[in-house]
Amino acid sequence: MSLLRVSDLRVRYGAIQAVRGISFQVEEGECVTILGANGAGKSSTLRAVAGLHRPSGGSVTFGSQVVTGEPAHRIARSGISLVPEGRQVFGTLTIRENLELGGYVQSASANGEALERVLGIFPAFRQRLGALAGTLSGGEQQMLALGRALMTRPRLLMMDEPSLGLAPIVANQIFGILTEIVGSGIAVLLVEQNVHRALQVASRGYVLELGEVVLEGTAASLLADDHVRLAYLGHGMGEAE
Amino acid sequence: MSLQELLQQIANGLVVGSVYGLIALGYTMVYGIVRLINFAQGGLYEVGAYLGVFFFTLMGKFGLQYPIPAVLITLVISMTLTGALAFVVERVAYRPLRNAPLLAPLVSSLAMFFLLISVVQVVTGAEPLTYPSVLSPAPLHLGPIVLSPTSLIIFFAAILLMVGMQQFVRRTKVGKAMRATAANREAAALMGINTTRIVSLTFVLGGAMGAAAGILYGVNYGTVTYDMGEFGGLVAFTAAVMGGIGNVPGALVGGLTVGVLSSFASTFLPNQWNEAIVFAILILILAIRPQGILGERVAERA
Amino acid sequence: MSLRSCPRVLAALSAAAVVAAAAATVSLSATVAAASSPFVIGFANPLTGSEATYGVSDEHAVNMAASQINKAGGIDGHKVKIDACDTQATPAIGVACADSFVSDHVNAVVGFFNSSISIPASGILHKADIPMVSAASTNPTLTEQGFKNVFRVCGTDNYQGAVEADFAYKILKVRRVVALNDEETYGQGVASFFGQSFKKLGGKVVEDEGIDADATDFTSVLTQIKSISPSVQLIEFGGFNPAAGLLIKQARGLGITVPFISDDGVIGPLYYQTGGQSTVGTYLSSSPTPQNLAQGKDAIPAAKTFLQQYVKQFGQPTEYAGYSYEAVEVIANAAKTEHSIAANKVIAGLAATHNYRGTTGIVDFNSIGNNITPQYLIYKVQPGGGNKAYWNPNAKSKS
Repeated sequence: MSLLRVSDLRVRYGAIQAVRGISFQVEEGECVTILGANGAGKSSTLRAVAGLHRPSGGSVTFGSQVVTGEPAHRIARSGISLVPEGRQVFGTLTIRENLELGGYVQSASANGEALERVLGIFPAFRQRLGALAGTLSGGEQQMLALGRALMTRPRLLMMDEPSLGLAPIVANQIFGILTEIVGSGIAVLLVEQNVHRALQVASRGYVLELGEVVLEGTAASLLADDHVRLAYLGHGMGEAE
Repeated sequence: MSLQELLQQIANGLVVGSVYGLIALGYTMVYGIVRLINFAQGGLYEVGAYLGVFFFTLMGKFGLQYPIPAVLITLVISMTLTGALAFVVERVAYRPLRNAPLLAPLVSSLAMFFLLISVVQVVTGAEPLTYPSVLSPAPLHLGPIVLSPTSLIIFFAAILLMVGMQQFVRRTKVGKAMRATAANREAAALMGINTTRIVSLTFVLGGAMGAAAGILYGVNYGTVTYDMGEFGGLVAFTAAVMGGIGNVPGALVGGLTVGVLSSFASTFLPNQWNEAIVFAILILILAIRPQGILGERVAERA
Repeated sequence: MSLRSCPRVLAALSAAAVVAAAAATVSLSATVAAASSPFVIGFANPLTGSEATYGVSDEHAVNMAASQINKAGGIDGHKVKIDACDTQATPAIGVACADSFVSDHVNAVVGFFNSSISIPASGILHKADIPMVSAASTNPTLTEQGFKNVFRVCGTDNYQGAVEADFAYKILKVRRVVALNDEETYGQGVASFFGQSFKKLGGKVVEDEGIDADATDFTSVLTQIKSISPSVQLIEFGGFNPAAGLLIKQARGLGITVPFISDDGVIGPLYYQTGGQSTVGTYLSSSPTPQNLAQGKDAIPAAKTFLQQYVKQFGQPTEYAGYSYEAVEVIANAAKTEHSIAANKVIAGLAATHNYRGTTGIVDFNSIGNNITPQYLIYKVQPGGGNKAYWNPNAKSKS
C-alpha cells in the first residue's frame, strides 16, 4: 500500500479551478517530484494535501487514514510535513524556538533528541541558537525551515520550491541535504522549478499542466521525454548541465 | 513645578498607567495574532470591573476582614468569567468573519463593545457602583512621594500580571505557539499547532487581563461606572499603539507612558481635556512613529 | 401611537382637573359662602413617582398648617383651603398644574418642589399675578427673573456657598483655600459664591479650578494642590457624587490632610460609599431637616412644636416639610398684615416680610424674594457614614 495516495484531487480558489482531478502516489521512502510551469497547480496540490486549503473534491489517504479536508494541524500531527514556499520561518522567534516549535506535538525529551539530530544535519545553527530567524539569509532560512520540518519526525516531507531565489551554490547545499534525507528513508514529495535538479533527486515524477497530470514516469523516462525536454529543460540535456 | 511635585506626578501616572497597560495587553495580544483591533476589549474591561463589584460585595464581611484574599478570589472568578465571555466574543464576532475583509471584524468588534456596555447599563442602571473600601486610607511616604496603600498594591499587581503574561508568552510552550501563530499562522498550523484554539486562547487571556484591570481600577478608585469602558478602552488603545501594537512588552511601556503623559497634561490643562489629549497623543504617534516606541522587534523577511 | 395620543390624554386630564376643582369651589362656596369666600392656596409637589416621599410629606405639612390657621379663625374669617396638584416631578405636568391654578383663581401658590418646574411655572403665575412661595427650589434663577410675585423660604445654592465660607473663615479659622467645582450649574454656583464670600471675609482663594465630573482620577489636580499645600488650609468642592467621594479619597491617599467641605449635592449614602473612611470628619453644607431644627441648644421653639405635631399625625417629616409649613404660614401672615386676600395685597405683604420667626428660623425676604437668612447647616461626617449637624449659622452662640 502506498504511503500517500491522492485520487481525483480537485482544488478551487473562488471561480478558478487550480487542480482538476489529479491522482498520484508516493511510496514509503520514495522521492517523487511534481513538475510543471507556474500556475500549473503544483503548490495548490501540496497545500491541499497539507490541509492549508480544503480540496473541493477527491481524496487524500495517508497510510491507512483518509485525511481529506482535515485541518492542517491534524495532518501535521499524522506525519506529513510541508516546507512551504518562501520558507515561512517565524522571523520574530529565535532559531532554537523555531526548531522547538517543529517538535511542538512531541514530548520534551523526544524534542531534545530531535533537536540534536537536526543540529547534526545543520551544524551551523548550533552556535547561533539564540539568533532571531528573521535576521538569517535566504539560504539559512531555507535550511531552518527544513530543519524545523524534520523536527516533526515526518514520514512524508513535502517541499515547495526549496531553491527559489537562492544562489546556485546554496541551492546545491540544500539538494545535498535533501538527498541525505531521502537516503535516511523519509519519503519526499518535491515541487521544484529546476526540473533537472528535481529529477536527479527523485525516482519518479508527475508533470502537471493546467491542473491536470499530463505525464508520469520514472525520473529517467521523464528526462528522456521530448515534451519534458522541450518544455522544462530548454532545448536539451546539454544545455542544462 | 518642584522636583517633589514632578516625582509625585510621575508616580500618579505610573499607577494609572499600569492599569491602562493591562487593558492594552488585551488589544495588543489579539492584534498580534489576528491583526484585528478588538474594540470589545474596552467592554470586557468594564464587564470585568462590574463582575468584580458583584463578587466582592457578595463576600460581605469576609471581604472586609481579609481584603487581600478577597481581592484575589474576586480576581480569579471575574477573570475566568470575563475570559469565558471573551471566548464567546471571538466565536460570535470574529470567527465567522475571519476570511472576510478586515473592516468586517473591526466593525463587529466595535458593535460587541457597544453591546457589552449597553448590557452593563441596562442590568445595573446608570448609577455608579462602589467597591467597599477595604484598605486604610492612611498614605504611605516613599521618600518625597506619597501614595495610598491601595494604589501601591494596584501598581505592583498590574506590573506582576503584565510581567507574568510576558513570561508566559516568552517561555511556555503554549506561549511560543502563540508567538508562532502571530508570526505566521499557516506555518504554525504546519507545526501541528491548533491555531484556531490559539486564537481563542488569546481572546480569553486578553479578556482576563481586561477584567483584572477593571477590578484593580475599581478597587483603587472605589467606583465603577457604566461608561468606564469608553474612556478606559480609548486610553488603553492609545497605550497599545504607543508601545507598538502587537508587541507584548510594548503594552506595559505604552500604558505607563500614556499614564505619565496624561498625568502631566492634566497639571497644565484642566482635566476635561483628558480625552482630547489622549486623542492628540494617538494622532501624533500615528503620524510620527506608527510602529510605536518598541515597534516590531525585527523586520520580517518574507 | 402612544406618543401621539399623549397630548390628548394630558388635555383630558387637565380638563378633568379643572372641572373637579371648579366643583370643589362651588360646593365650598355653597356651605361657607355666607361668612366669606375661602382663601385657596394651590399646592404643587411631586405626589407620585420617585420623589413622592418628599412631596407627600410636604403635603401633610401644608394641610397641617391650613387646619391650624382655620382652627384659629382663618385669615380674617377666610378659611384656608388647599388645592393640591401632582407635578410627578415632570416639568410639562408641573406647568399644567400652574395653568389649573390660574383657571381656579387661587389666592396663592406653595410650590413647586423642583427648580426645573418652579422656574417655568413662575412665569405663568406671574402673568396671572398670583403670589408664589417656593419651599424647596434652591436654584438662584427662580428669583432672578424680575417677577415680583415670587418668593422662597428655603435657601439658594448661592447662600450655601456663603455659609460654607462663613464656616471656613469663622469656625475653622482658615485663611487660604482651594475651591474646586464640577463645572456644572449647581456646583459652579456653590463654589464661586463660596469663593466670593470667602474673599469678602478677608480670606484668599489660592486656586479655583473646574474638574471633569465624569473623570475618576483627580490625582493630578490634587498633586498640584499638595505642592502648594503648606499654604492651603481647606479644600472646598461644589458638585455631586461620585466625584466628591473620589476627590476626598484620593486627597487623603496623597497625604493631603486639610479639612474638606462640600455641599448638599454630595450629602447622602453614595458619598461614604465612594469615599469610605476618608470622608469621616469632612464637612457638608445642607438644608436642615425639621429634626435638626428641633434639636440641641440652638433648637427653634416653633420647630419643636411643628415636629411634635407632625410626628404625632404622620411620622417623621422629610427635609422640606418644615419649609412647606412655613410657606403657608408666611402667606397667611402676609394676608393678615395687609387685611386683604387680594393678590396684589398678599404680594405686598410678602415683600414686607422681615424678621418673621417661624418653624425654620427667621424669614426675611429681600427685594427679589429670597430669604436672606441662610437656611443651611454644616454637617460633619461621622465614622460609619452618618451626618451630624455641626454648626448652625443662625445660632447666635459665640464660637
